[in-house]
Amino acid sequence: MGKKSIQEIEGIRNRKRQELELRVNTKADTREKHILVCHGTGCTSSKSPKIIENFRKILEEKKIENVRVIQTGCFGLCAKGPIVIIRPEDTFYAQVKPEDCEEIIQSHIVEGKTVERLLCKDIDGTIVNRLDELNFYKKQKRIALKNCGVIDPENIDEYIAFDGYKALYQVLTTMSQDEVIDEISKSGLRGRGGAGFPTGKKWSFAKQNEADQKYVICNADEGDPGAFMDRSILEGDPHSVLEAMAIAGYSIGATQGYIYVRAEYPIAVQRLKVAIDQARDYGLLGKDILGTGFDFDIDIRLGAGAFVCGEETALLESIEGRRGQPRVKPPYPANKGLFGKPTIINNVETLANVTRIILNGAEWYASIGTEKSKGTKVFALGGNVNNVGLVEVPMGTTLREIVFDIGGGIPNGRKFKAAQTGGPSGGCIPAEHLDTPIDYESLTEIGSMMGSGGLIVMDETKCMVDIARFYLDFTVSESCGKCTPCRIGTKRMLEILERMCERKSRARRFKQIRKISQ
Amino acid sequence: MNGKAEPDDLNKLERLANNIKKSAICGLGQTAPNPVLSTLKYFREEYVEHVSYNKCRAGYCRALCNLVINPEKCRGCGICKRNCPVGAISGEVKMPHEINQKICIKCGTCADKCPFHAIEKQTI
Amino acid sequence: MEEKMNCMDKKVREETKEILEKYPPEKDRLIGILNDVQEKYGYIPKQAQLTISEHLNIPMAEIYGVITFYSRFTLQPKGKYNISICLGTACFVKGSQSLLDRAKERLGIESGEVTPDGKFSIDEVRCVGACGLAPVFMVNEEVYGKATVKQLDEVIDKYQKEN
Repeated sequence: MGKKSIQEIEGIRNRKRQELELRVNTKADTREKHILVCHGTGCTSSKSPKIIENFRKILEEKKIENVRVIQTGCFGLCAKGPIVIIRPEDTFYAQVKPEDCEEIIQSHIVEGKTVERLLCKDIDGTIVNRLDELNFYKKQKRIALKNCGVIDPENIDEYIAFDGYKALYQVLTTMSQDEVIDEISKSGLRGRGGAGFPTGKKWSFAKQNEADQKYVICNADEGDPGAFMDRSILEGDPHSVLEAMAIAGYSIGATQGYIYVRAEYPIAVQRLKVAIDQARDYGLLGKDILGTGFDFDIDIRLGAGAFVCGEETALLESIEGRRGQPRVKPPYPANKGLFGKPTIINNVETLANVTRIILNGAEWYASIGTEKSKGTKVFALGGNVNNVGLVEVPMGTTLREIVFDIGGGIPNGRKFKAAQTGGPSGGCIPAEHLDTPIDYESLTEIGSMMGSGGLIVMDETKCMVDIARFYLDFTVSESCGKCTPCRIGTKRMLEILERMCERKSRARRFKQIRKISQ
Repeated sequence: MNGKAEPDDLNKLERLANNIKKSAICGLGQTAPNPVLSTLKYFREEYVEHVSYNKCRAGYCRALCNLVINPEKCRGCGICKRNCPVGAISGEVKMPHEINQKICIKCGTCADKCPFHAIEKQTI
Repeated sequence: MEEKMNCMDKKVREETKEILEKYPPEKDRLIGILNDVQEKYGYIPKQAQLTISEHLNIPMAEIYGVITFYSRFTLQPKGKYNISICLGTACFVKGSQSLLDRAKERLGIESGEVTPDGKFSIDEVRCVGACGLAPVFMVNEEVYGKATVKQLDEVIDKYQKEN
């Protein structure tokens, strides 16, 4: 392999794009068939690697050429996994087992007949021939997830085929640092980790500071229980994140990036390692990227099971080799961050939007969403809902649309009681607020928050007091212990809630509560 | 079996939550009380029911619900009776069985073992 | 101060040195190094801690502080079959608490403990990211999705019969 010039990259792009047209176009002019198998963590634990292996073995035995088996990232509809999509026709086979491979090859590939019994069925029972016929996908707009389920995440050429590293080259050769930051600011992109801080503003603070070294950090410590948006992006489209970090590095004047990823995501870690190696090999990371004189490299740092390390200053402490206890702010990381240097810390999903904004323009991005919340948001839809999985919707889509139109409603004939957004930092939204548009401000107004994207639906069999107890139990065990209100206060709240639910409680009398709470 | 909540617990909970929000040093501590505050806002009746009436309307909190055998589903197989650790279940073979609520410790073993899913939680 | 080391200690010392050699001798690499040690032994042996302490010039107390802060690092080995039950929200809402209760009941131990014969240990984890398969439990690396109490019973039975 080895370092590539921009002409060579463009050559790969054009050649591969033609080759992969069938991945996105059902009318592609091709004699090939691609069997796409989801290789995200969810489907992997349901034996998708064995499915991939079986397909390859059978194709070889039958000496069938012109058919490729591709591992891809998450298609999103986890409830129907393991998922197999045949392109170009976009046939959607659901809940496939390794034993089904023989029939799929014989019937679909050889005889040209779809395997009816494996075709995905929508909630109302209608058989769906193609992925985009499903109600689940109709209201979605996949921007951050655009490559997930389309490309093989361990093949850099496939990433390049779909405009990979085009944004980076554009930035390095035609835009100044300020122009990049300006574009991101105009797009209205806000932090997708939960707080929603304007990304362009964060980058501009870091750029303003003079320093001999600056850092770009990707926060991939997705700790919210029930959230797997970031994991899916890292597993399905890791290069998106690498390219975005390089763009961020250029704009603020950093030459080194770190991805802090939780060790509980072994597949994501593996995909990142492969992606970084491939990018370095092509000269898209490292010294003198694409001959522009810009240096930028990325290393991985693993987390070790502390939820609090998702908080940006606790994350910095962790990378510095210490207990992950948050620092008092100010100073903010953009001024004084990793090893005391100006640092920006961005969430995985935030970064996944960057290349799209550069290529399509800030105006395009700002045309999606609401006035103060631009673009789309990825949600991990879970709990008592039919279509459990990953969805990406324009900001402003209502909770009702997500739970019922996309999510397919509540199973077992039960009723919607509440939806939790924002994980342990968020709140419950009751039925009366189902028509709330999902955006940063509206959610805060009704007592919840956007959070990182976990959206847990609950039916009438869930006890809301017990749900509060559950979240507090989590918070208590994850409290770093540094400040008294959290270390002691949350424990006291938990004890009260446990008493209410009559779980095993070692509650003591609360004569001192008044003193503690003041 | 009563829940052990004390009458003043709701007020204490709310005051604690508001104070932690204001005084924790990082975002996590500041938002930790949110699940409590939002459920208190929209589902206050459930809290009141737990504290004042020892009732769980969702039928979830074991200590606040009774386990009851549905006579229409029960086949009288006796598996629950044999597995009950405190001998709270009585009934003849092939006749619907019954749980004595005074003896029952609500461990749930009977419900887990019943092959006909005949044992249900009922709010008291 | 040369302490008398037994064979096992010497082995751990050597192997930890091999791990240390893969990293630059910088204090901030501590967590990555501990991750490698944890993966190798299933816990952080004292000899490993001592070796790291000497090599990176970090006080033992500080290393202890880091190990006890992060839930991934343990000071005791796990059981031969480590049962991790996911208590993430999606799994919890689908009933994973009853899986945990059942595991505790069957094995007679609490979370974080090991059975006296060293065969089983129970761990609570917070979200392995397979929420589409809720509720989830794992036995070592093997994932059991859409799990039931019955399934857990069968798995425990299977491993209990093994000698």
